[in-house]
Amino acid sequence: MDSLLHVQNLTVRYGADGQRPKSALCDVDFELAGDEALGLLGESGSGKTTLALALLGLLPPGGSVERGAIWFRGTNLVAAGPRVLRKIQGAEISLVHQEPALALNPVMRVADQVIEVLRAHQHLTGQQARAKSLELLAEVGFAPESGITDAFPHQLSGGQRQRVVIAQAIACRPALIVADEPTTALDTAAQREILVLLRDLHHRMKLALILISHDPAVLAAAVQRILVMYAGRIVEDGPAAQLLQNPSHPYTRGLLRCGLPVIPGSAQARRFDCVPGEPPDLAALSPGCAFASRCPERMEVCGVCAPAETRLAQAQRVWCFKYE
Amino acid sequence: MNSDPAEKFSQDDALLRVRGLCKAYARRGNWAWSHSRVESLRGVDLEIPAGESLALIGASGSGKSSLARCLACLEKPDCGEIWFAGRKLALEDVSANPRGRPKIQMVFQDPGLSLNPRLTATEIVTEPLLITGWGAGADRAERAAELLKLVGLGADAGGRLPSQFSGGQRRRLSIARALAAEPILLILDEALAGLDLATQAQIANLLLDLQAERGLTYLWILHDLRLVARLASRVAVMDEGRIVETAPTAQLLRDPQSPPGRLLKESILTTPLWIS
Repeated sequence: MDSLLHVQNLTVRYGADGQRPKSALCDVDFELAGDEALGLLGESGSGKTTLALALLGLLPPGGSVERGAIWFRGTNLVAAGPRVLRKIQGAEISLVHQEPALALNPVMRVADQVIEVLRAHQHLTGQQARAKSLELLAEVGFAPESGITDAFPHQLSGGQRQRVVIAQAIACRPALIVADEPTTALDTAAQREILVLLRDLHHRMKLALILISHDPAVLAAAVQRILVMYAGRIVEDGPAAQLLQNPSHPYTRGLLRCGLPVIPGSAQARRFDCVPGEPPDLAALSPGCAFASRCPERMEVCGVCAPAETRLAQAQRVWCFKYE
Repeated sequence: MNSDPAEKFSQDDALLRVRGLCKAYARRGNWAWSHSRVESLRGVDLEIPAGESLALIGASGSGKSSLARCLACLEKPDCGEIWFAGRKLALEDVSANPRGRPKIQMVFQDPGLSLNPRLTATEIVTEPLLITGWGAGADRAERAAELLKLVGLGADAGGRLPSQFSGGQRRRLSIARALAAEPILLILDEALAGLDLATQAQIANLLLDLQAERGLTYLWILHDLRLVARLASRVAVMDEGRIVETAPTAQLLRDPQSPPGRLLKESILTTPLWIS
């Protein structure tokens, strides 16, 4: 098997005893090749961020893996101890957060923050680390003469800050970068720059990328394959172009319909065609399909049991009774 | 209640006319000599006809929110003129005019910050009624319930706190609050930002329906040109405190004339960047 990452039936719950437990992820199962760029698409509360945190072994207190495994280069991260995880976190798998202002230390110069990551994982002298850090910052577009390497985070724009976070993320040449809504806090010009940078790094450094977003256009811009998540489950999985042009699951179709036109200015109805209702309460899911209550194509069986995986084409999977 | 000011001006006049509006903020440095002034607005000229949807776009820091705050009486402009419904408004902020401008209301970007976390939904929509001296106690309670229903919040919503609502519902609540004073012009400062697509579509539909029902005039502040394409009939591009270009939406998105307009157009995620 040449996959870099294999997530197997991963089930994560939040909530200690006494509280109603929330099922944040349920039987999530996918593989990722070492040179693949994968997008996770879904609304807030669909489990995208929980999945990202689980991959890094950073589930918040109260969250626990109930079942399943995360195989990364032959190591099961779910069963791995803190010392093994410490070697992988930030070195082999790194995370780019949504809010770069919170991920950076406000009282440390930019170059020093990259040095901190390097020295946490590698044995380098101060001089070596400094040289390496300037190299990395150049790689994300900051030349040493730009003065940005000695700036503090508050002196940078949102897009520049996110570039610094990306420089930290690639510092130890990881095999996988998980980028959780990296462009949500940015304006559109910066958003495009960051997506182009991530795509370039993915090509140049031959690393795998998991990009998380609620916006199909962001994913269309940067990934080859998309997993659609709803209420902690994968509902559809397929090549990006195919999935965006020809979605199969009623949820994906609804989401893309209420999405925005990719080419603006074309004549169209002004009102949006949208998925009605709100996402379900994860603490009180019915036994059937999680999307059943909002689904326009609901059948009787949908409320009874959860649909199983159906393979449509070579690389396309969908979880819906319509296709069983 | 005063008579409706919208009746007092002729139909072909713009509802809002702004001339040469300036606003500078003082920025405190660490030392006395490092204090400086940031000029956010450097002579803004803008006209919005009644019933129109105008989108104000521009990079962050170009002055969009400053303009909105000056119009909504939250900041006092330094110079310039604001004409609204045929009347020239005094340049003032809430310290001089505690009632604000009931006919110009604003929906803020982040309802998490703009809704008082200790007030219930009913108290939040009743507050503008109290400030503008609307009706008696029983009428106000009835009106508050009506407003919550109007924006699609259920009958049980009135007693809940902002933290007990979802992001989309909080957006609805801030729209209800803005509508309480019966505005003519609604300023929507990134009112759709930070929402999921499905929720964003629901809130956009609500605002479009309200506009059709009540003949409201909208000033949208948006950063996503894909939303501009759908929601606004005319676009004004702002750059460094000035309006640099105004055009009908389709025309601006097809062929922007100003450099900042072109820059914004280029940033749209159109065709996939991915070619492998």
